[in-house]
Amino acid sequence: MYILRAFAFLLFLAQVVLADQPTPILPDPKLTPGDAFDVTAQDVCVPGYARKVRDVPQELKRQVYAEYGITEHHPGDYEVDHLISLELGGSNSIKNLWPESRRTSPWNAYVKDKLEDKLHELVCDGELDLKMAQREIAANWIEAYKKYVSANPPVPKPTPLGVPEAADTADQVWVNTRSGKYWRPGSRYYGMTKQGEYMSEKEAVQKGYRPANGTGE
Amino acid sequence: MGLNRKLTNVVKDRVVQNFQLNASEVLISFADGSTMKVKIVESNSPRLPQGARIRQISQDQAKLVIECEDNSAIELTLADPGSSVAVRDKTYQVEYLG
Repeated sequence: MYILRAFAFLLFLAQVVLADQPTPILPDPKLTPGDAFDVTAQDVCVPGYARKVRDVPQELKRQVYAEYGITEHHPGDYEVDHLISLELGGSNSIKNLWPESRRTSPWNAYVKDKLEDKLHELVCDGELDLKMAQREIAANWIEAYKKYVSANPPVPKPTPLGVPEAADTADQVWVNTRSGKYWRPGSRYYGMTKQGEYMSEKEAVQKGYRPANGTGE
Repeated sequence: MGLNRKLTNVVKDRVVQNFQLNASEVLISFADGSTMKVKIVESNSPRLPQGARIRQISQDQAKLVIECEDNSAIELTLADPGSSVAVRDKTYQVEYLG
């Protein structure tokens, strides 16, 4: 009897822990098989390409969360990410979008950004075929990371459950994807514009976005 | 149905030179040499006339409406919203994908 109760308690504890852990780390292949525009390496290697084609309306983001059964979440838990990144020719179709965890460790959205940058670099250096890069990142981005970035997973940063990761949220900005400007936490339009997404400031700068009013404040 | 500002900003005032419609695709060639290709599942409107000048493009998920200054318009149902429209300039550089 005691064993049964202990097992039930452990099961309950596991559910509590899992409920607080943002998921998924990998997309559901049925919902998000990946989708790409009809583009060539020549197209995606033009500076500013990704900014030109980035277009995911808020309504579509809501649909993405809904199809993954995520009814509520904290700012910074997820980003609606392109499985095949825009820089690799990925499209804005819902088939290419999924709510990617920012808080899981070691695998999260920031780690995938490193893979995307590496694959883009290889494609633009002529060392990797664009279609191959698209296939590999869509099939399993973690395996692709191990193959192209590092065989070892990134060093995990321990985060107490339920507590935002200070380093990440401090660096996080809100990009108004329509205007191409980004806002820092605490500023008037942080998380407020109709179209936009959270990302690290480094990623925002790499993608060609600029601080609003020159400072992001 | 809301204005697709990004796409409207790209093609506004361009003049239709040629319009081809088949079961799965619309191809509009503009007088400036640019092209707009749209993958569709259906179209329930007549084709845009040669010489029509684009006024605006509205969109509600899979429904895309192209309206011209002469009040001609076409309503299309996109094959896959977010992955069905491509505009390229006369040198084949990407101007819009969505």
